[in-house]
Amino acid sequence: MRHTALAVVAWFLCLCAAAADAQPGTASTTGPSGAQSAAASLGGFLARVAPGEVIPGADRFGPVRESPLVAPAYRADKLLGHVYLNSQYVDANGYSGKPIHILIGLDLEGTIVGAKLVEHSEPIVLIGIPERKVVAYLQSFVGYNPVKAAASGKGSPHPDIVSGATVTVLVMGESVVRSAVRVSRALQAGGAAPAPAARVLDPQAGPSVDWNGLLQAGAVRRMLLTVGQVNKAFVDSGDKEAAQRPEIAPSENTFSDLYVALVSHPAIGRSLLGEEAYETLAKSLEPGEQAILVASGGGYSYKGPGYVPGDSFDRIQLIQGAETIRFRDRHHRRVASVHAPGAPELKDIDAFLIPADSDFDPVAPWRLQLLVQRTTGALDKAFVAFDLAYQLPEIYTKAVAPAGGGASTAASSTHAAPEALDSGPPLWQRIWYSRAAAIAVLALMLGVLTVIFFFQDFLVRRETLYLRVRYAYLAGVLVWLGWTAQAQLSVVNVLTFTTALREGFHWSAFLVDPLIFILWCSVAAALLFWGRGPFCGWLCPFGALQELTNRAARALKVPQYKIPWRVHERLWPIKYIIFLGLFGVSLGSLAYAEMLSEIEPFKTAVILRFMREWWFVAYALVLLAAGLFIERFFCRYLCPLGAALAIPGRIRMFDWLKRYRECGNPCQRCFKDCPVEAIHPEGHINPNECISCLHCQMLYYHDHKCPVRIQRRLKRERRSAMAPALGAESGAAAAAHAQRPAETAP
Amino acid sequence: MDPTRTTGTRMTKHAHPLAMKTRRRFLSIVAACAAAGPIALARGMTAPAVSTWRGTVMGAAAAMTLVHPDRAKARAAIDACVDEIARLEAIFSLYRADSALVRLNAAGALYAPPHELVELLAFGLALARASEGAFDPSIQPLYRLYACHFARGAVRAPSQEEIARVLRRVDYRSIEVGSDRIRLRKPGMAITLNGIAQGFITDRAADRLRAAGFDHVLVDLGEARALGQRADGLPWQAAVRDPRDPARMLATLALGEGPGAFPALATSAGYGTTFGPDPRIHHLLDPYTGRSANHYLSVSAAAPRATLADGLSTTLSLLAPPRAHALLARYASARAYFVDSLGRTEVVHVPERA
Repeated sequence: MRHTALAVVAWFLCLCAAAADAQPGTASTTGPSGAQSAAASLGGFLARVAPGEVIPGADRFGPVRESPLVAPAYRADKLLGHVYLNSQYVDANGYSGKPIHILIGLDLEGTIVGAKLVEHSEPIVLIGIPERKVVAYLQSFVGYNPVKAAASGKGSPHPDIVSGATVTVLVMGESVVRSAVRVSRALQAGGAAPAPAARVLDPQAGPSVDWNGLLQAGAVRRMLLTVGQVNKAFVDSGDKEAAQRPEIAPSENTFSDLYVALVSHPAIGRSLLGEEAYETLAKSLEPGEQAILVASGGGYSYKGPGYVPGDSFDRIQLIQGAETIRFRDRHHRRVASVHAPGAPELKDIDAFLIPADSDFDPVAPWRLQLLVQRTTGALDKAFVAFDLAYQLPEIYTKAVAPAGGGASTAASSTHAAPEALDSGPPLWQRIWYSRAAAIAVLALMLGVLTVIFFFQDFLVRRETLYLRVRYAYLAGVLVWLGWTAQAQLSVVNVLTFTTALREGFHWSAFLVDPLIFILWCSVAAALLFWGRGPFCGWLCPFGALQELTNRAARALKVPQYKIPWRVHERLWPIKYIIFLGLFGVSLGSLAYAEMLSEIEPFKTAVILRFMREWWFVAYALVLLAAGLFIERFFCRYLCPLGAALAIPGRIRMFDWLKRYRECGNPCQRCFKDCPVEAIHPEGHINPNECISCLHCQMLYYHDHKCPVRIQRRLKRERRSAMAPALGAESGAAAAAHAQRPAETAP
Repeated sequence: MDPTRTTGTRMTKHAHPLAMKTRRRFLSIVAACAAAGPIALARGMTAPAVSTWRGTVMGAAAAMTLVHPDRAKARAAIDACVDEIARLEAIFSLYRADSALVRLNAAGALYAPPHELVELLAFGLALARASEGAFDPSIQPLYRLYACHFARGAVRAPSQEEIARVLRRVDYRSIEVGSDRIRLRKPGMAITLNGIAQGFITDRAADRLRAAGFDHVLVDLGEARALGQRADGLPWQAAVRDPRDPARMLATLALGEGPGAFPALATSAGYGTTFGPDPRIHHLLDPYTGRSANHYLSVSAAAPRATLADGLSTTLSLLAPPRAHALLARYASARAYFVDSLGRTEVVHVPERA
């Protein structure tokens, strides 16, 4: 556990180093606006590195080649290898939603010989941490040949998941390996040949035609097996017993006449099945599912003589790339007849669903394999298999623009299966899976918070319970959510999000960190319901740290300083100005805005747990020290994230914080007691400043603290004929209490 | 452009993961002919482009060579082949926890088994019947005994009692193969197809390439299978090397589809693939005695298909000469090269009687 935690911190430190390293380059060579977009070209980055840094021994780069997009590297006139930019081949978007640009050198064998991080926008900007850790990580790929490794069944040289918040590292590793596969394949393919444009199924395309038309177009494919062919296959197999027991029929007789078609394509499906039967089939398909029609004539049935419903269809299997798909009863759909005019007489006709999770690409070639069985003894059998190849004709497909500016040209549809081989499920899914426990804990915490908000009246009526729940929750947020899980939201997330909205939004960029993603979704929902409070008052680890330290200070009788209302009110806008400033900078340069976001001490205090340079630590400690005298000093006046949440928080739907008519006039109790001074002297709660700590609600129901309640209680007690002297005494105290604030009010 | 290639052959058909480190490449097939280049040049031919892939299949070095003018097409076909190989490894591998074979061994039965497992296991059983059990796909428990025994640091073979206890679970007649289900009737049985799977994968790769329109191909995935000819128009050449002296060629033969050529060649040898320090205790285990068979230094088999060549070389290694020749007599299309302990090579080819 401790090791993991240290490792996580170490990763952060090394990433910070990388960030610090990358920034000067960004600023100096491309200027603030160009750094994010236009500079992401191979040529631009090559100018920044020495050839030997990416291809050892090289002394010059050749001109950048177009297809594949690589630059050759030479020593004198000897070609040593090629250099490419990972982000031009794969999605290399990191935590920031921006690509992490790495120059990678491949030798002529396709082995990675060098890798250099040249630019990124990860929100982990930090000055003065050694760069060597990120270098060491990238160096660990040197010597790795992804194509060979994939061929031998080995995966990436790194574990799929390094525990903890290492999104950036994962993206780096994944993009290096996957891009290297694509580039080496593209290079080996001769390079000059233009990769075919990626194609996808086009449901609108294709005419409605008869059987022969479908056959001629290749929409239906046929395999005619004669008895002679089957006999020969058994002889060729080398199985003597099988060879000695040939089929007795004449060799030119039909053994099996097998047809297949991608019947889930609307034009093919309607032609083959007719409108009605096609619609029925299409309705039974889940999104992403495909269906094939299998039909046969001849003596040998693909179902087998003993087929009964509930069995699997063990004589056929579909093969695509490295995937084998078997059909069971649940994949089977009955087909009464072939509707297309001119169809031959078919003994068996069935449709089979291909589940969406089987990675089947309807556009890539596949084959249906028919297993032919021959009895060679009382119990002994021999088998040979025959393949019926299928490729959806181009007229049923359409070209799609390769994603990412020509980046994926090497990943034509025919490479779908090899990609699966070297990458597995999407990165974010693997991360979610690996963090299932943390996700569950977070879900539990969010559930508890929801219960707290929905049953706040119940909770705040019980002062001791309320305080215990609140401090326990804050402690949980600080220790687990903050220090352990490192799920501290930051204004950087807001800036990244708004930038992504402007420059192309990808879910994948936000899904890579499950805790942050879930937190943001929850905060967004809570923002609509109650405003910024649920986050600021309950889910912010740094907020929790401030509140808990302040409570400790109070317990130690540290005097609390109350800023005069007029000054306080005028200090509020600072945080909005800071936020707007950051937002403005992010429009120009996200990287620069992220650096300025260090105004938040979140990273120092929560993510790095104060293990950082002294000046960062000093800054965070100063803010915390201020918070000892002025509760939540940072939240009140400086926090740009609080400001960013307060602005959309104005559209909140519920105002569940209860007030009495007497609040503010004349009573000043809550005004004085509000931990963040979010209650105006006039008595109303300022939702922009309120952190929903529910303190005022606890007072609202408190029979001994809220003057309104005290008076009601006294009245009640008088009415129930209690000792009048006691009542008068308390009543006097309450009156005095109510009077005192009135004197100081403006 | 030079199609000269030296490719290693897997030491034995039954390598166990625990013993992987003991594999040495002492025997190899050379699919080359030194004089070929000048001849081609003399004819003034422009040799068609050669595309080569190298990798690892079932733990052994592997290579594919395609002679085809369209390199991009060749590369795409190689990619498809690599996929196919990966798919088949995921069925036959004993080292992958989720392979179909491992699942069969763990559960004792496998429903809706992959076609390839059905096909190859049925072939293995036919070979077992033909060899009266010398070849036995259910020998895995015996390997496991040897591997675990020597992994614990033993120097001598397991005791007769231990062997006898394990051999009760070695019985190919207790394997039921159907396209719907494979079942192992005795508890504790386990299957290995390491004696034939490499050849089967070799054949499948070659078949895929043939189907994709490649007529001149050499697939060497431990066992070799050739289609057509080399780039220079001559047959692919293979050599059987002396296990003790790799520089010495004991025999050469033409691979491919020309006259006198055999499409496939496979070699089995126990020497050098030992479990422990004793060179006579190795992976070629005789299911009758439970001991390593040392009839030959190595056996190579040439046949129309690599599956058969692979199965025959393994089986013949386990049989003493008279029985080996008798078995070979049933396979008129095959030829065998027996290398005895003195390095003498006996070539046996029993043509079909008219």
